[in-house]
Amino acid sequence: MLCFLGLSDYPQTMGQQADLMSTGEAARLLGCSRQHVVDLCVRGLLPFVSVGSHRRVHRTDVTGLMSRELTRDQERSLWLHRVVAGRLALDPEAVLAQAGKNLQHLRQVHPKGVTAQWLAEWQKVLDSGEDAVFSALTSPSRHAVELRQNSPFAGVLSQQERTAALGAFRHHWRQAHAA
Amino acid sequence: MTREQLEHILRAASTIAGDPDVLVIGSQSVLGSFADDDLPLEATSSMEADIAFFDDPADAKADQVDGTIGELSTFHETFGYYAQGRQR
Repeated sequence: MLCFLGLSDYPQTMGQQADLMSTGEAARLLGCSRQHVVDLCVRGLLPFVSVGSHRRVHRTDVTGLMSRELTRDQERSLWLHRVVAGRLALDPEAVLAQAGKNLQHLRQVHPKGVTAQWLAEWQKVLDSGEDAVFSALTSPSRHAVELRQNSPFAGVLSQQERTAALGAFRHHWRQAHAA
Repeated sequence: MTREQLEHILRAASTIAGDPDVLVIGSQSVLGSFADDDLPLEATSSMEADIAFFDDPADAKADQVDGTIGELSTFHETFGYYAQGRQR
């Protein structure tokens, strides 16, 4: 079976192939239309692999969507962090240094409670290397959504870049959610 | 987020939008009624506050707040917390 990169970064093994579902099967699991699943794939909210001319999605990614889709705020956060991911690809050393500096500051501002736990989780992600950081920045999973709400990547984008990204997101949201 | 931090966000948001009537939505709204020392950690553990305006039909004020003191902004970097303008 030939699989190539869609929005997913999964190298496929035989075991993982058993976890793949068609968009129709995913739609039945989610209780929505097949077209809606396709839309989620196209919008980058559901990773997929292409098998021939068909999209296949991982069961774990589908079940991760079952309780809810991303809210507007969560999608906006994802959008901003995709831009950060782009910057990370260009200059990983500078971006990770900024994140490490921010994390130190944030742990002083939020020394206790749930936020402190998420910041500790970020430290593990940063310590795991660039691939783990890319995943945390761009995954639509609920875990990554929560992580990003406690992001240490402020200051990576200039004000001009942020403004442009927020404007592009507003345009995207209007188009994607037009009745 | 402490009550003091929430007050900082509200002052900034009100100035940015030119509107004194700011609505706090979500978990941090409890800080309007209780001091943070009287609340469990879970009730105040967030680095963001969701805010909206009563008079904001086109979401322009919410967008201004996002643009100025929102996620990944210089405000966020400087103070360690941020506002999230809630659009309708």
